[in-house]
Amino acid sequence: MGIGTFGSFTQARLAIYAAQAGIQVTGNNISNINTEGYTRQRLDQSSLYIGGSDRYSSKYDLRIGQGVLCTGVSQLRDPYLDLRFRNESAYVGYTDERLDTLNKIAYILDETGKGDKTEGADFGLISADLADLEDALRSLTLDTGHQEFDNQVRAAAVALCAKLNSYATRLQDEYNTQVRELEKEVEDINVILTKIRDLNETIRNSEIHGQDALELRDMRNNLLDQLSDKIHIDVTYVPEDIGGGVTVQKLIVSLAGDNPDSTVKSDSAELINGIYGAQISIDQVPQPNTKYDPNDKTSMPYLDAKGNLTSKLSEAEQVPKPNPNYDAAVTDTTLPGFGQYLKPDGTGTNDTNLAAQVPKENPDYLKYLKADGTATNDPAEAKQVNNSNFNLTVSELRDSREKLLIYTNKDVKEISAQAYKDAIAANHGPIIEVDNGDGTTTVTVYQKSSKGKYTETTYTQRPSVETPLDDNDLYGRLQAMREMLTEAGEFTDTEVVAETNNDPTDPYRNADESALVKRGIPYYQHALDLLANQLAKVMNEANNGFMMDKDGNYISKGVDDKGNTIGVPITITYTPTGTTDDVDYALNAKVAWDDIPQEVRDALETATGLDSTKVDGKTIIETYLTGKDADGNDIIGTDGNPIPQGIKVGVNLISNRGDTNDDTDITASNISVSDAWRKGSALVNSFIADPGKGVEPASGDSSNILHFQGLLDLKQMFYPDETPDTAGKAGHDLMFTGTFHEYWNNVGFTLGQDQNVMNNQLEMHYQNALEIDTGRDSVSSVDFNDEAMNLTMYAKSYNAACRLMTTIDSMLDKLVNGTGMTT
Amino acid sequence: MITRTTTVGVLKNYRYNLNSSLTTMGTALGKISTQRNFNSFAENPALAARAFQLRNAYLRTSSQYNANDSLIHKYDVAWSALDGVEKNIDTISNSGLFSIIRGENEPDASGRNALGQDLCAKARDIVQTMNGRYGEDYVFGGAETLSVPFTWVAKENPEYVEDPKDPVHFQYIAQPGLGEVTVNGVEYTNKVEDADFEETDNPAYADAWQKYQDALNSATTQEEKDAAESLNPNTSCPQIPEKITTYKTNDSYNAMAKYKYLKVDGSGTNNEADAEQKLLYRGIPVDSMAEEDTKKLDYYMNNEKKYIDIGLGFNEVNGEVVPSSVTNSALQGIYYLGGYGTTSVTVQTDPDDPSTKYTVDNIPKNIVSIMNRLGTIMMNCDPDDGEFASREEEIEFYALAQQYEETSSLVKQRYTELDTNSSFLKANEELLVSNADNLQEQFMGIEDIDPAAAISDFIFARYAYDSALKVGNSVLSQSLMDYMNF
Repeated sequence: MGIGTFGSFTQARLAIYAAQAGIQVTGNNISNINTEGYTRQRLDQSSLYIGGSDRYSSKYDLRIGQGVLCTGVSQLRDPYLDLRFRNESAYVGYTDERLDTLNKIAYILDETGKGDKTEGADFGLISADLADLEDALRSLTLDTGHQEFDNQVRAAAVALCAKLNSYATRLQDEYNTQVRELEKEVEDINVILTKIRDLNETIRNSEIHGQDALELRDMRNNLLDQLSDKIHIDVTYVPEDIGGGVTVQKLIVSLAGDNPDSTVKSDSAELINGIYGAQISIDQVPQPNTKYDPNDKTSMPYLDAKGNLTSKLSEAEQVPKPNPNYDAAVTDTTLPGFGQYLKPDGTGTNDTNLAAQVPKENPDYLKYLKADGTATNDPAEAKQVNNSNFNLTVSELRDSREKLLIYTNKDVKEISAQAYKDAIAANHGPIIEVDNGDGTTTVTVYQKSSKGKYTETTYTQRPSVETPLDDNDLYGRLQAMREMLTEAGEFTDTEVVAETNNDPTDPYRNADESALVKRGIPYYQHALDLLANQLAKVMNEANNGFMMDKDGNYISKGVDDKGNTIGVPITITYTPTGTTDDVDYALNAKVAWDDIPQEVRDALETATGLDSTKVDGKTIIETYLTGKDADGNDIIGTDGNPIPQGIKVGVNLISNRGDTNDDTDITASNISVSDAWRKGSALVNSFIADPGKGVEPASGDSSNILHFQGLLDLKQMFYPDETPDTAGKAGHDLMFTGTFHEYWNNVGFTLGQDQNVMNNQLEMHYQNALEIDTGRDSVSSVDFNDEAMNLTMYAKSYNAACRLMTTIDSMLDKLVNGTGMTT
Repeated sequence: MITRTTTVGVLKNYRYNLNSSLTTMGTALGKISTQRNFNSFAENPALAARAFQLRNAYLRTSSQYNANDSLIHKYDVAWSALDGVEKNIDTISNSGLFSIIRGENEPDASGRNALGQDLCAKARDIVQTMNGRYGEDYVFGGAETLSVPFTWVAKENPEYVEDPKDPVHFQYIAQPGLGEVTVNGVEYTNKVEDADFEETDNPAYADAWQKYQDALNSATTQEEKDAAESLNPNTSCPQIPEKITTYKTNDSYNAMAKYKYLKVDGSGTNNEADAEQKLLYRGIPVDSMAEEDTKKLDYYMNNEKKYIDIGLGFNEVNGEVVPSSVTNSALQGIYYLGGYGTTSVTVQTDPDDPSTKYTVDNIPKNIVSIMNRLGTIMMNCDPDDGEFASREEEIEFYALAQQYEETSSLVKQRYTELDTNSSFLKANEELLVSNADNLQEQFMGIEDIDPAAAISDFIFARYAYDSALKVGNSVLSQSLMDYMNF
């Protein structure tokens, strides 16, 4: 069959159409060259060929194509590169966020190049203050007894405290800012998830109606790229059978399974499933009552061994952990009701020695705070706040009309005719619906096909549920934000590392094995607190003590024959082993507890009521020197009278408030020069009495000032559980040994090292991401040369098509007007 | 597959590279403007930590230098004071004192009084010098820097009883109702007319009567009897009464009890200025041999320390300072004046006569006390012929003079010792300066830029950036589009 008379016109017309469409696609590409996320498009064309084999066709007929058809417009995109880019993007997001926060911490703590110009610049701030304090103390060793030099020491201490306060405040501000940013980030993610879900719906509808919706896909890809920076995600496309033989593409976005613990499954939670989407939320908990007002028994959580209220875990009396399921009738040790107490492994016991020890709770303590600031024990009434670990939960998946996603598993198996009949008979019908009790429903359908086959089709329906995320389920910018808000490195609560209870209500649902090496803002806050606390501790300890004579014997005040005041060594009477005679032993500051004869140590413990296995020897001796036992009663000597008291001198130099001398719970944010020191000279120059002055030290004796100086200049041991917030929680592994200056230097070094490592990682990941993105660009982005070529090509083909039409027109004109005509 | 290079890809890469180039230039510019190789720990954590360590060491060394310098100045003051002491000692050594010792008694021995006065004055002079201050602190007070170390006090009378109503002040037991004070039911008085009394045999009468009786008994002749009768006290000595009135005296009465102080001659006085003066060091009698005093003085001289960290590797072990790691800045005046307490000195006043060899106890070891005692003895000499007031004082004089020579030698030795310590401090100062310089050089080497390198780095970075800009402009302007001509 040949072409019709005007068939060639159609051919030319299709060519013109194709050229025009090509020009349009090219124009669209050029127009969108700067559109973010735009994927270059290509006109898909195919040659038009009409007709198949005619039954009676002549073998001499020529079958010629009848032009060109524009079959569609497609995107040029490489899914593998998308996958790689989004993986890398999560790394970039994670490292970028960590580095960004570390930089913000460094703005506060990094003292490199800082410092005033008086001594020549760059001596740092806290570094310089520590040096100033040491210098002032050194000056005071020379000019002991002169108020102005004492004042210089105080001024240096005030400057140091003020600096620590300032750093702590700024760190807390940064923490609060970071919390707000995390909340905003979660909102941003939820907006992206919602947009993707809605785009999925639109794209799905377009697909159903035969549209490619390329621009919408670009938008979705762009959103997926954005999301991948925030959360490490897996993006998969699966076919979705929508019935009627129509299949559309379904997008599934899920967490990328980053939890190193392979038993944890929550790290693969779905965020998007086609037209269903989830939302992420920060777990809210009732606001804990942390008023800790000693005058308000409802605000103090614990009781100490004497039954006094305390807010400190470390001071609380340890009691056996009660078994909440205790049932006296249960004798089977494997049952939960067995035993009044719980062992550390969670099993019951009646032996208090085997039981786990927990702090004794104050029964009057109200655990939570309401929005109006009053306390309550009802969590429902309490104000809801972010949980301390900023745990996240992925919600159930819902579509734009809030319809819950129901997952359906279909299982088809062929059964026998008898089985079919039996099932129908037993269930009074072909459809059986069973509620499995675990949230799932099973629907079984028995069918008989037209071909005589019998099938049993089982549909298991499982509604989407919310997924509480484990500490390490995420990766990306969001996780970096969480880690910077929660990770405390060596200061980490041991429970975080050890806990494996999988309890979704527990902030630490699973152990974070690497928590001890992750350092966020809390690490630097605790590090600063440790510096402040340790400094306060050693200075207060050094400034409190008992007077001693030149030989180191602790003394009490006595009078000699001439009526002069003299120091009389304080003794304790004991009976040496193997004798019956009492002997007086002079207590001497230079003799360590372990070097004191055992009989004397026993006598001291008996007199004070203290146990050397529970308190250190120094405390026992100092208690004895006060003349009062642990219960505050007078210690009675062998003569039946209260023993002479030592001469206690000194006050706390550093306190937790400037208007008190209270040295408890000192942190960087509250460290202050004590009220006593603020008001005047409070430094103890020496604890050694000048024999010429009775019980007073020589005016220029600076032995204790030198000791102060030594405390700043000599190595100290820093333990992570020695801050108020980490006591009794963090491990007691030696964290650092060095001077205060070295410790502070180490904090800066650690921060710098973290920044440095993170910066290198970011550079690497960014380079990788850039390379992959360039790779994506090489496939997907618009190029002027390409488009210029396309313009030329389509313009030329348009011209050619027009020329074709002209030629055909000319031919037809000849045929119509010029053939067989005579004039 | 050949990578397809696209306009968008080129632009993206170019943007990244241009930014890197700008960052590099900014870093180079930052180095020049701050003159530092790094401005944060992050840029080079190890070097930054090292630099801070060095800077801290530098600050500590500077502080130690200041302490050392201050100590040198204190030693300068001490040195000047001891120099004055030494000069005084030299002056005395060349004075007439030793002429006396050498037996070269000057023709006019009366000059001894003046010499004595001079010695006492010099002793006071030395004490005044030793009480000098550096700043607000007494230099030679050991660790007691705010109280004057040496003081003179009047020699107290150990028998002094302050309470005027103490029985020790009353000579007699008073008649009932006439006592000035009553203690434990007993009345006391100093008035003889109020004193209680009793009649007792007069021993003089008894003695005379006995002689009379003896004479009567032995008389055999009338003349002898008459002669004996003349001895009858009743007639021959009616002034000797047979009975006498005996006042009841107070056995506890002590005439010295009313004097607070003792004079040089041992008599009492209540005038402090008249009393013999005794030297105290930080309130303790320098010449005391009482155990409680010597213990204290021994502590001051040998054990009391005032340690200063001047860069000798200050260290504490179990809270105790390691002495070798610090220097002791407590200068004990008592040490530099020869010590404390007394000693026994054996002297021979006449070299040719072994019988003039004596051992004298309680000779002070301290130069000031020796001088003061020497002066006192010389002032006690006869103003006319210069004779010693007593042989005992003469012997003591010789013993003191002998001890003086020994102690003055010791004082000079300790003066030299101070000089040595001072030299050590000066040497240490040089060491500290050198250390500080080294440390400064080290941290500057780490932190500070090499200007030439930094500037060339910057220039290179700027060229790179400029080139990137130019290249970028060319890249962006050229494409096939620019050559199309429809």
